[in-house]
Amino acid sequence: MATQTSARGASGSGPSSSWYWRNQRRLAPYLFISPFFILFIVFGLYPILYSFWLSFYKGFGFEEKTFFGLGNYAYLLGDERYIKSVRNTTQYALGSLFILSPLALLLALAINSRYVKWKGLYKTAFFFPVITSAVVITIIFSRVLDKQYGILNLGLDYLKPGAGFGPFGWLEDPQIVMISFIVMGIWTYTGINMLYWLAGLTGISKDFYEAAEVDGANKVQSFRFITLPLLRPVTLFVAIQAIVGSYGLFAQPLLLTEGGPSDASLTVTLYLYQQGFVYFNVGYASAIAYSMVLLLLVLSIINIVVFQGYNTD
Amino acid sequence: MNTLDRRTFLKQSAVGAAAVAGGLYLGGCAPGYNTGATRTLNFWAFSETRTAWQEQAWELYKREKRPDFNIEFLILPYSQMHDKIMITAQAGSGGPDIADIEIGQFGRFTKGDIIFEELTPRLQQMGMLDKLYRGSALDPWSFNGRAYGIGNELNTVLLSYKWQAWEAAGIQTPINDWSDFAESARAYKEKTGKYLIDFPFTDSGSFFNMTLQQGVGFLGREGRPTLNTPEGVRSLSYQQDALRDGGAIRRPAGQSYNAALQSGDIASLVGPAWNFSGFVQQNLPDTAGQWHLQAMPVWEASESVPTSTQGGTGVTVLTTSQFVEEALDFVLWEHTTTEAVMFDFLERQVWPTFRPAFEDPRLTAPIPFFDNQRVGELIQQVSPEIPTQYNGPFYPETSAALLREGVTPAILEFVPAEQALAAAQTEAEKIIEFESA
Repeated sequence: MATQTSARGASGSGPSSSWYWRNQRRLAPYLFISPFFILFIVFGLYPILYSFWLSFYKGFGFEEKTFFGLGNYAYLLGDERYIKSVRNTTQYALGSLFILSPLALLLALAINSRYVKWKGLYKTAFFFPVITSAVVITIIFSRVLDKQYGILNLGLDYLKPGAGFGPFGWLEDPQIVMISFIVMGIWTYTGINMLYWLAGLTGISKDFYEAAEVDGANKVQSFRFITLPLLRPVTLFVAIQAIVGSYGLFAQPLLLTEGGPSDASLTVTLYLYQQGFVYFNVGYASAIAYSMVLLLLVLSIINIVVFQGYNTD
Repeated sequence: MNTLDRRTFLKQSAVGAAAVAGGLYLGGCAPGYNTGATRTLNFWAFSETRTAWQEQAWELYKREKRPDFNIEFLILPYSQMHDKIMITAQAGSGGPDIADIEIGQFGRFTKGDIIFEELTPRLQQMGMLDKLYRGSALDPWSFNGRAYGIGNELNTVLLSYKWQAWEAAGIQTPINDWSDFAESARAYKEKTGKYLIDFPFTDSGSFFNMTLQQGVGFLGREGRPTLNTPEGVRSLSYQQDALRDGGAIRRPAGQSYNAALQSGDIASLVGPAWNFSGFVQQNLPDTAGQWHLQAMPVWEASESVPTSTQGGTGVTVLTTSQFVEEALDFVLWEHTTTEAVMFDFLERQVWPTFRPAFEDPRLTAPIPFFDNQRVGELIQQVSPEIPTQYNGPFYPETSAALLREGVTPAILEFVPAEQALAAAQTEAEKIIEFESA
């Protein structure tokens, strides 16, 4: 085959004289990886850039637009609904960060313990909600959180009958509706977070613990001075994905409360959806999206600094 | 064994890829638009119960008119379907030829160029305009006096009540005005400890019915918000008073509401057929025979009619369709043919907006679920009085502002009705000003 190519090249009039023939070896890799990049440019990069461009325009839909400069961003700062949606979503993110994530770590520690049997069963059971569709989860929780017949209120009443509190309007009371979504989030995402922590825990060499034990360290000290520091990269990952995931909360409030009552469960993505698809105010919706990009970028950088994510030692 | 050099491999790969791409392209386009022998129209809907009667109507249409086209029905989730129509309309292709559009969603399609074919001239030409109960058939899908959709659901609002419970408590029926109703509600509560009615704080349906029967909807003729009106304040204050003096209760959410209706803790509801007939029969089948219907009580203090119209879904024809004429012919035919609209009544007890259909005795026959009351006769009696409501581009913003700033704070926290509605009006106007500035 090499001889044949060489012979053709020698003639001077064969395919080897063409630009393609001379460069095909170098082109082939790009050709093979091009489908991904073509799809990414069309369906990923272009919409991202186009929506940034749209955020400087106003008008209905994609046809009737007028340049609005930074008007959409300026309006955001005084838009009470937007501020409320950020507040609600931040509340949910804080719940994910300070309740869900530590709870997942506790579960991971428990499952990682040498005393626990059937670890696979527990992992599967806790992971199960993650693969359940958001619609199914909302249907389940609409029953669980029902004021009169919901299992949560019935359970609270059973634990402390006649205590004088409740029944709670989990989805009706503006004061507690976000707590309901945090509860729902904990049920749904504790399993996956537990797996993240478990991955980190199994990566810590037993030698450290044995050395600490020889030095007289107790379990709490081992956890404080070995486990936690060595889990730092996982902690950074869990924190960032908890924050980013929380700010994407959409399906549950849409299906359960539509953001109500009186915007008490309005989340940023739900507000973005309302502006973009219901009010057809795509310029403003794009500005909301980019404000979230900025917010998440800042929060992620703070996390990286706090957990020293740049430190690879 | 044959060897495959790189050049041959690349050539064959390119041919294969082209064949697959071509196949996908043709496969994607062909069924939707033209299969050669028969043209196919796409009908998008979001509810099986709504396509059930239309599929039967389509079979009848085929038998009667022998069309040279076909219709394919596709059911998508509610929000997804409306969103996809919006997007495909913007793209200019890929959408359906015919689509169900829910009343609350119609407004957003009237922003900018309207993507639906106007139906009014065709209906006029057919001599059908006056043969429809327009308040339910056309008004919800109209803007600036032009109808862009047609609905078959005659959503005449009536008062549905548990007659045995009322009778046992000595409540005289029919109750003709809302002040008598308030007195009856108080008496009922005293005697039974239960409630004659409820008012919701998570939807504005009760408020809408009470104001529309006084001639005021969410939007005025020009499509601007009309939330802070004397009629609105009267309606919302009435609900607050009833809640304060114990004659009414806030509507429980979810299953609790069904349970309250089932047990008689709440002994009536105000709504159209999809509510008193559809939801109640579906969710509370055990209450068969316990319900009677009467016209809505009226307002002594203002000119009002004993009914309203609430909700509904209309059928539209999209301007992007390649087969507008065919689509229009079927859609208008199915809504103005007695035999076709009867499918909907027989399927889910929906009374039709097509007036001549009421000549069919089945529509006015006694109904066992309502203790053999002739419900159709009552509907036929009050439907001519359905007030006009206006829809428009800012319907979603206005109805959302009303709920958020008006109804919820007024019912949940007893914010004075005037203050709540003023806040809702201001909020709606502020949003509209920003959007359209």
